[in-house]
This record gives sequence, C-alpha cells and structure tokens, in this order.
Amino acid sequence: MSIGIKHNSSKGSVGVLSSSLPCKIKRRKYSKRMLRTSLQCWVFLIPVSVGMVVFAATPILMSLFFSFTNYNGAFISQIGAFNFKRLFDFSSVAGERFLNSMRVTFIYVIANMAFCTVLSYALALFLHRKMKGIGVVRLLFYLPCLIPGFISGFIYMAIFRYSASGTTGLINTWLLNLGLPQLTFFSAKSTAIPTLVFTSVFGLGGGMIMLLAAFSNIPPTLYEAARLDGAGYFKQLFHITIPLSTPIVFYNLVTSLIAGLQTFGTYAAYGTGPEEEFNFMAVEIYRMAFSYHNYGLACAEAYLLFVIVGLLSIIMFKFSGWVHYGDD
Amino acid sequence: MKQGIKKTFRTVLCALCCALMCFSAVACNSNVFRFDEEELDKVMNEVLNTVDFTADESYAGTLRIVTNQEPDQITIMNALLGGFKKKYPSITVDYKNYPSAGYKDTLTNMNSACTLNGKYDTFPDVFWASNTDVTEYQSLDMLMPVDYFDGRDESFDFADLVKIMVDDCKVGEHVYLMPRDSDRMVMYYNKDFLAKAGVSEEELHPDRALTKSEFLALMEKCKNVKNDDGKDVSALDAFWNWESLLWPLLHAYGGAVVKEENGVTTSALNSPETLETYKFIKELNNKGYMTEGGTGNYWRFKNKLSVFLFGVRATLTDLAANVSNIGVVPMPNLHDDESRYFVGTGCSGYAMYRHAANPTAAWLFQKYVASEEGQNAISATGNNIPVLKKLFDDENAVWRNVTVNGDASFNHDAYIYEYDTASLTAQTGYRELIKPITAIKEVSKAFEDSIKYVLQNTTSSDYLDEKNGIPKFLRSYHRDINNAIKIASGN
Repeated sequence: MSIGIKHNSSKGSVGVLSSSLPCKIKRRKYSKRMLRTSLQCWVFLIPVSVGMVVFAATPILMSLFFSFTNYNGAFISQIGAFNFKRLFDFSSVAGERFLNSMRVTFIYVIANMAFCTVLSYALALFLHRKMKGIGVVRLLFYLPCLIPGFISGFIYMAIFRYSASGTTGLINTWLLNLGLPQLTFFSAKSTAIPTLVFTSVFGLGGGMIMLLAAFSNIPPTLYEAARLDGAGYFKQLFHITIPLSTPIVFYNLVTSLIAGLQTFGTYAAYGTGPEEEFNFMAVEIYRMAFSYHNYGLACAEAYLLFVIVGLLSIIMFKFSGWVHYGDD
Repeated sequence: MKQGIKKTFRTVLCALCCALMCFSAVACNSNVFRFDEEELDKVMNEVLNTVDFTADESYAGTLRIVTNQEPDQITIMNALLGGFKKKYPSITVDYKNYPSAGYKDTLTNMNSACTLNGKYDTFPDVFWASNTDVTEYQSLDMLMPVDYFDGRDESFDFADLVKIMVDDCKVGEHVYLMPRDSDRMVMYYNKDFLAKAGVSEEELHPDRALTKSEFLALMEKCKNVKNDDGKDVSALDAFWNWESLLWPLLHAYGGAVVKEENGVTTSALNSPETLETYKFIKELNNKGYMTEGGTGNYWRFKNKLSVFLFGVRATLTDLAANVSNIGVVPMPNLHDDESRYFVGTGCSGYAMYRHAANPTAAWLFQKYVASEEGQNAISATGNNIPVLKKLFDDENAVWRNVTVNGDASFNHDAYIYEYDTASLTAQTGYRELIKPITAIKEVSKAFEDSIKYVLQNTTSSDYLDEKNGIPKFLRSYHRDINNAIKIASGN
C-alpha cells in the first residue's frame, strides 16, 4: 500500500498531488507511456542485440571458456588454467614459442609503425600540392592498397625471391645482371623482417589518404597569417601542419598498432619464414588451433593477445597529450 | 530512475554473460571423450546394428557426398556416381564440392559445430580424404572404422585390396578410409626432348628401374637440351619438397625423420644419413640437372622446360594435355645398392563420417568404390592405378587400356614395377612413429621445408659447410621437429 506522496521518488512524479489515488493513476499512465516508448526502442534494438549476443558475445565467452580447457575442435577432457600456466612457463616449448612470436611481432610492429608513419607523412606532404595530374599520382599511390594482402604477398615473393642456385626474383636478377651479389630478402632470418617492413611501402597510400584529408581541413587562413608574419615552409610545417594533423597521425598509429599486432596475412605467402621469423602471434594462434588442433591453448593465446592489444591501446591514449584536437 | 535502469541493465548483462558461459560449458562438457578398444567395439556394435547388410540394388535411401573442387576430384566422382546411380537407382545422391583451399578446415569446423550441437545429420555421409589427413580426422573422431563393416559384410573383404594401401589408411588397428587408388612415383619423359638429347627410349630400360649410375649418366646427356624457343631445358623436374618423393629416398639412404625409443618419439633428421641424402639431391642441382627443388604442379615439365619428371599417375591426363609426346618408365633407383630401392606410394579415398546419418547407403558407396566396376569407372578417367589387386595384372582392366595421346603402347607396367617389394608409404617407418598424432602436420611441414630451404639457400660452394650449409638446416629443422612433438605432447 503506498500512502502519501513521495516527491523525490522520481523526476517525473510532480509533487502537487494531494492524495495517493490520483498519484497512482498518474504514475501508471506515466509508466505505460514510458513502457510504450521503451518497447518501441527495444523492438528496434532486438535485431542488433540478437546479432551481438549470437555473433559477438557468444564466441567471446565460448573462447574464454575454451581457453580453460583442452578443447581439440571436438572434445574436452580437462578443465583448468593449465593453458595459461603453460604459456607463462617460458621453459616449456609452447611458452618459449609464444614468447618468440611476441618478440617478432613487437619488432615488426615498431619497425612498421615508425617506417609507415614517417613515409606516409612525407608522401602526403609531397602530394598535398596543387599540380596538374596530382590526382592521378595520388591514385597510383593508393592503388596498391586495393590489392588483397595475400595477393600482394605473392607479388612480393616474385619480386624479392632469392635462390642460391635457381630462379631468382626480379630484384636479384637485376643485381646479378649488374654483377652484384644477391640479397637474401625473405630467405634469411636477418633480412626477413626488414624486407617485410620494406614491402609496407606499397601500402603507404592508405595512411596518405587520411593525412591528405587532414591537411585539407587545416584552415588556409592560418597559413596566410603565418606567411604574413614571415614564417617559412618549415615553420609552417612544424607549427601548423604537423600539430593540426596529429589526430590523424594518432589514429594511424593506433590502427596500425592494432593491425600490426594481429598480422596474419603473411602466413599465406611466406609461411612462418626462415627460422620462424614470421611466426607472428596471430600466426602462432592459427597454427596452434589448426595444425595441432589445440583450440584451448589457441584461445588462451588469443586472450593474451587481446589483453596486450587492449593495454597498448590504453597506454597510447594515456600518452596522447601531444595530439592537438580542434578545441585545444 | 536513471540509476535504476543502469543497475537493471548491469544485472541483466551479468546474468546474460553467466548464462552464456554456462551454456558454453554445458554444451562442451557433454563431449568429454576417449574411446578405448572395448568402448569402440560397443559403439560400433550399435552403429552396425543400424546398417542393413542385406541391402541390394533395390535399396532406397539418400547419400550425401563431399569432395574438394579440384577438377580431377570432380571428374572421378562423376565417373563413380555414374556407375553407382545405375547400380542403386533408388539411392538419391546429393554431391557437393567444397573449395579446395581450406577444404580440410571446412570439414573439421563443420564437425566441431555438429559435435557442439549434438546434431550430426548436417554433415556429409561420405567425404574425400587424403591418406595424410586420416590421423588428423581420426583424432577428432570424424572417421568410421570401416574394418568393422568388413567383418559383418560377407560380400566384401579388405584382403582383396592392395595391402600396403589398406595399411596406409589405418590408424592403429583400424582402417578409417576406403582407398580409391594405389598411386606411385614414376619417371615421365618428354619424347621430343629425349630425341634432341640423342637418347633412345631403349636406353631408359622401360621394363626395369635405372640404376643410380645409369640415371646420372642420363641426366648428364640431357642437361643441355633446348626447346623450340631456344630456351634451356633442365634435365629433371622433381618436387623434392614433397614427402612422397623425399621420404623413400631418405629411407633408402638409411635415414629417418623420427625415431621411437622407450615409447618416446624424437627427431632423427639430424643424422649423417640425412646429410648424405640431401647432399645427393643438392648435387643434382649443383651439376645443373635441375633448378632448385623442381616445381609444384610440375610447372617446368608441363611448360616443356624439362626432359624428365618424377611424378604420379594422378596427374597423367594433366601432363598429357600439355606434353603431347609423353612416356613413362619406373622410378630409377637413386641409391647404389640395388636392395635399397624404394618408391613413394600413397592413396586417397573416401571416408565415412563417424556419425553418418545414412550408414547403409554410405557403406554401399564405399563398397562400390573398391569394387571392380567402381575401380574401372575411376580408371576410365585415366588417372588411376586400381586398388583392387586382381586388376593389376588383368590385361582387360580399364587402367591398362587407357591410351595416352593416342599411344596405345603406353608403359602402364611402370606404375606397378616391383610393387610388393619396393613400395613405401609415408606411413611406414615415418608417420606411424609420430606420437602424439597431432604433431604429424607440423613434423611433416618441417621435414618438407628442410629440403626446400637447403635447395634454395645453399650454394654449390657452401652446401657442406657446417655454418651455412646443409648441416645448419638439419640442426634447425631437427629442433623444429622436436619442438612440434613436445608441443603436441603438452610441453
């Protein structure tokens, strides 16, 4: 029995009612209206919600569960935290291999991020000019981004192929014709990662397009004012262009970090590379699941990768003070 | 109000997560599994009780079959189904082919879904499988042990089939795959190039295997041939990065990929015998007889860029379509000792799904594959050496009467030369020793990669060098094989 008036019961129940009965009626009316509105919202949300539960939440939770089992794709006979224990035991082969895959992944990610960020920025600066035919040049730089990763991988294999005594690739053929020694490219541990990073040159167009858009958004009045104040090209670059394009640089860094940590496309073209140099974390997860049918361990590795990606992303956002947003 | 909604939302979300977690746990926990022999007998008894072993041509039912999308697979399946549908007109066959890339993963993923759901009727009753995949499928309980059917069905006997192929389809004591053929390595040659090199076909001794010295002399004679475009033609195209070719040679030289001691499997790759084997292969390269490790898909031979090819029967029509004047002789003996003659042999076949929804129709199809009619139907495609032993020497058998580009005297005997004594499958002495079986795929990959990297990365001057030559690669892949076994063992 609700007798009396509860003025603070909710924002909607206005406290001018003098008796409990009308108050109840008013509330009920209000609730019905709310319910009708909410119901409409929920009806519209159902397809997406069902999709999220079925295709996102369920696999996420199932893989979490599998990471605590020895699931082999069909059966489970053991449940516990043994997969994580194995991965953190670096004296075990699985732990050692996962650690190695982390090492090569981080080396690749850092080298790739630095290389691509600097070069795509330089390329964007170079192409941010009003020249006849610049659109065509931009298009040509962007075109390689449209080639699927694994296809371009086969192209790079043909270009950078090394063979001590057989058919060599395009570049080594040129080198041999010039009387120079061949380069090992993808075939030796010491040159495999640098070659892979170098092939990122062909994908610079993606970052370049984003940066060109960022440059276009910088108000020209700022450059005019700077010029009037006698600022040269480099002063404008360091005090206007670079600061105002940092949000896109930051975006490129975050996305390339996440993409780099999940590098997998290399597996189709180069396998695990010489002495497992291309055994990136995602590749290791794939091998564990589909070569060894140890889905449990693969899920545990995937969760570790998830935590690493999450932590590094948070760290990057924490240290993003150098990014100048429009309102700053 | 807002706080209330938030709280409710949080509670609902938590409840949902818990429910999903429990669902996952319950769904999977129901599949805690491992059969021992006694349990398998029980399970198979139940399965066999559902099979009608008296079924004849009037049997009515449905059958779902899957192969990959390789043109050869489709051609062979269509040939088989042509005869099968005639024999069993009341069986409705639903044949599908899945993309070749990822074929195996598609099947294993489908099986995972079926196992999780506990509903198996969406999985095909029969699917094509290679002998090298049998252990992997079996470890996931996807394969029906068909030897149990043999015990019940009086009209069928595995003893009628080539024993080594039946053994190749075994995991432990049970046969999990109905072999479709009994393929074997041979040496193909381009007759036009042979004539250009001034070598007569008689010098190839079509009725016996060439000795090592004869083979090397032949390579020397054929290494400077040029094709009609004036391009250099290599003497040999041999895809060494393939265990069916590499393993018999390693075995001939006394080497091994793995060894078993006290029940523990370890790598045996880093041995003087392996070094000798790889040295021999590398020297074929150094002497200019072949470029690197040959080509997958026989690219050089098919494009008329090599005189000889180490190949198999399964690709005969493809080769003949590209090389009009093709001949074949038995695989040469690449070891000095005549008693060390081994030839790579293997098969593929059709597996019955362990939980097949239509086991009777599936068994009838399996029997048909191994029957004389079935074998002749497959042989008519040109790419088959029968698995039914009596057809080996049957002059009227279809496989012996296949004409290749109009050549009625094609040397079919080359495919079965010293079959009983020299045939060696990857199973014998190699894959059968690898335990746990989940390591097989990675061990096999390491073994095949080892020769690939040796041929690609060593030069004629440093190939025996401890630091940069074959020994370096053997050490590296020896370690990889051991690691693969350790990981699969739970280390």
